[in-house]
Amino acid sequence: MGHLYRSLTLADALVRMGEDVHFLINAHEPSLQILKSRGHAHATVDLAPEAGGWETEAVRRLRASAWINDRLDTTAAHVGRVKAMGLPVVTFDDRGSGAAQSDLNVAALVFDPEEVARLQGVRVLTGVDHLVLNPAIARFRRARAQLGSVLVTLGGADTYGATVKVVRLLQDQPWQVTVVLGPAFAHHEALAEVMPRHFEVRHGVASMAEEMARHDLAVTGGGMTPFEANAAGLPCLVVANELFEIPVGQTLERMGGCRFAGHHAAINASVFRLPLDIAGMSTRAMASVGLDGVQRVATAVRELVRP
Amino acid sequence: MTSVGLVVQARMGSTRLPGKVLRPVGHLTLLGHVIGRLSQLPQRWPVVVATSTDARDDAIVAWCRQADVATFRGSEHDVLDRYLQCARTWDFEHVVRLTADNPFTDVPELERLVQLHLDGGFDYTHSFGMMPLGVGTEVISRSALERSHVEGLQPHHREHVNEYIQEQPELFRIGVLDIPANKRAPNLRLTVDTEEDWRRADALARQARGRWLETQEAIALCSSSA
Repeated sequence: MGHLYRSLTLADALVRMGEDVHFLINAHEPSLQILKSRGHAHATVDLAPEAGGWETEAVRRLRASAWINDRLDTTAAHVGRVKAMGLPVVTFDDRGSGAAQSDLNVAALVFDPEEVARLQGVRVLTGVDHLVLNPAIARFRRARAQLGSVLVTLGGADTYGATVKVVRLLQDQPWQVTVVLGPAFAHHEALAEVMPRHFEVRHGVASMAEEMARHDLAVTGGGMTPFEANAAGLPCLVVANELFEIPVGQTLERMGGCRFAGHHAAINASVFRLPLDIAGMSTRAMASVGLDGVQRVATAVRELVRP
Repeated sequence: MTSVGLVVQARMGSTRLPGKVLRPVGHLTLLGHVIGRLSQLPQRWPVVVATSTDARDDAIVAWCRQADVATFRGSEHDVLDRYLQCARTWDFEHVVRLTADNPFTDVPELERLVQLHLDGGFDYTHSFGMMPLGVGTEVISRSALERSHVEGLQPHHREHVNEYIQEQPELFRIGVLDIPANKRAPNLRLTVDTEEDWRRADALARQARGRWLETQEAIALCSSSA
């Protein structure tokens, strides 16, 4: 759902700039419900490669002036069909064959210099200044002073069960711990074996930004969540769920608002026992992660349409 | 219910590359790669790192404790005994044998291998000889381990878990996994035994774009850089 939420944040920014935005999405009912609730125009399309050709019809019908992809790697065939209609193409974190033809490739979470060098596109935007974070986070932004309450949130699915390992590491700490489980969490049995009674377990929350506001430290994966947390002044311990999240975790540690605890297969447990300078981490978090990225990206998109 | 366990043998005392299992390959230690790859298996079979009681291997146990990985300690040189005792302790009926110097285990083929082993009722099933060296794996039933332990008394039978079985094929039901053509490259080394192996593995891990490199990708990358 990360792609959808990022798209919604960007769409809201473009609408505020006076642009019309129309979503084309696969038939995923929860996503469709969210789009409806947010009031964005949308239509379902078959994104399978063999269904190629739908782009032309969509561009004509919507009289579109720019095409934004926020999905996993695009193909040259797909981007070629859109470009043939005369539209500029924007893409996110794209390492597919379509990236080279794109006019704008926004890859804010690519930090490994070798990876950055491999990114393709006429214009490539990298770094935390181009993170598309929800501006609503600003309402919950506050400096933390000391550690009392910890939030554990390791993704909607937590594919590899990192929550279980993290809870085991937090068992003996004198903190109030809240564990938020996503809708696709599948490790309930293993988690029940290690979950202390005094930990609070929440199955999904209406607003993660609101939930973050209640805590002094978060344990997160290496995706967007630690950046959202840092932007709100919430320091993090970061566990990489995927290999590509390792350079993200290392970068976050260098930025000062997080400590990186390694890949889930090889968690550095000592990070959970170190004394943490919560006040300093919180200050550095807010200083290093701002909320203007969405505006920068929206402006770059608009420049493609109205140079 | 059939119990399958993934047992990774690891030791610090490598002759050519001492301490290699805790040496970084890309962003993870060699052992971290092996364990991380296994977490891609949907079956969630238990993973145990089987190391020796030698004091040098305390570092492996410490690493595993920190990484929340189960360990078993046994004989340094009688590896067959180490495996059998580990299988008995964990009550594994079938043991997938892996070694900590192979960071590119092909997980989909491992999954197919176990399925073939169980469906075919084999004592020993392997995927060696077709994929790059270090990518294939083997599954041994506990009964085959028990028999090897009793009858395989030569030093090489004890040091190499599968050698009694391979030398006495008439005593065991042996299965061999067929490998897709695009994963066949038996002359390519993807194990880490020498400094040159380590450099190759490190380069491949860094070129993997933050993903677990697939066998066919590794073959292609090595071919293009040859």
